[in-house]
Amino acid sequence: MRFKAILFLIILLGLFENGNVVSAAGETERIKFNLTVISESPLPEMLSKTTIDGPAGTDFDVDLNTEGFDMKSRFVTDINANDELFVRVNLETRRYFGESPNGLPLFEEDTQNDTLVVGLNEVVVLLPFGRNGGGKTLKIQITPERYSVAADRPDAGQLKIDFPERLSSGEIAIRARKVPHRYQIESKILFEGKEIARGNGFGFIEEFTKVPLRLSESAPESIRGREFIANVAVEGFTTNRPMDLVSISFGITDASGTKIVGGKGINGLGREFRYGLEEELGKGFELVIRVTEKKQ
Amino acid sequence: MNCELTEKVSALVDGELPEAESRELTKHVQSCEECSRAREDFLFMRRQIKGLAVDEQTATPLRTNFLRRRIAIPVPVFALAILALAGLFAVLFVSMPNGPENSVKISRPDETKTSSSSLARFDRGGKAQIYKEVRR
Repeated sequence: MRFKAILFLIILLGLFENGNVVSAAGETERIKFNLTVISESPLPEMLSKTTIDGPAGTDFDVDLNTEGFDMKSRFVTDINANDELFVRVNLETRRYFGESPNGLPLFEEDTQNDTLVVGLNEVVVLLPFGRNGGGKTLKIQITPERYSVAADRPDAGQLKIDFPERLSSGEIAIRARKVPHRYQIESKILFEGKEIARGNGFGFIEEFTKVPLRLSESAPESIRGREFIANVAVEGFTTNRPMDLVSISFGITDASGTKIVGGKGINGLGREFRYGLEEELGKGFELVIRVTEKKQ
Repeated sequence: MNCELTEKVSALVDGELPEAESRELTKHVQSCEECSRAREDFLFMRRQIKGLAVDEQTATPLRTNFLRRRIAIPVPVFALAILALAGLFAVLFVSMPNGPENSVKISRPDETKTSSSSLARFDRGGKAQIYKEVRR
């Protein structure tokens, strides 16, 4: 029985090696995004084309910078539990509006966040300037394509970006990256160096995760009976040497949701991040957060 | 001052003494050198003061005439002056920070001079959109 359990664990570890989705038949799932910039009037005309080809969970940015208008769009893509491709979009635009009475420039700004579940027969469409009511419309069409390659291929986990048709003016910039999306979050409260509360949770990049902290019997009288919930978000991941870095946003609330403490910080992946709670809970209290990558 | 009556000379000159006393003092002044000199001094002072009063009387009509001359501006000149003042006020009003001409200047996208190759030619001020659609 023990042998079977160990064998099962070994197979599982093999399936989720390096964070890439590996099929049972030894294949790694990859995704290709074809980004086409189209002028839609009077007839559709392709202005540029870019191909991003990387492991499942590849993210990319599309930035547009032209006269009086800036757009920054971030696309976080992943495969959800139902084996569907979801795309989380953060879109920011900034347009020159005019001048103030004092001659200073004024801009109108807009931010949009959306999550799209994209089927196999669907495309994502981005209209940087909106619809122009039948006038000239600029359209950025993103066509995803999922496929698998043998896991042992040297390029199975590589990220490639290709620009077969470039926009001569260089007003559109496209970047791609592959960073871990899922994290394990461990949170503790220490009193005089000893652990008095602990909680664990799983989080997705740029999303807050609530981690209830369970008080131990050794908790001091001053906080006994109270409930604490840690809210932690991994806001960014930076590939670095000797260790990768994560930027986190964190806070502690009580059971009613009232904020006790909040802050931000950057720490090594897997390292303990410490924050003093002297002002909030009293002398000797400390918050510890440790973020590690969660293998799929 | 040796004569005791010298002090009354001033009242005599001003005609403030009773008639009998005035008559006696007049006689005394004619015989008293000191009182006579005092009377001369008072009369001199009185003339000086009177002269000033005369000047006042002659100066007032002059000033009135001067004012009359200032007010008597010809109508066209007066109208031009009013117009000039109105113009000055208009210039000051426009140059005020919150004047109507200095409110926010809006630059419409279609007014922006864009080169034909720039993507700004697509900008008509619309809001960016993102959505999914069925693949064609």
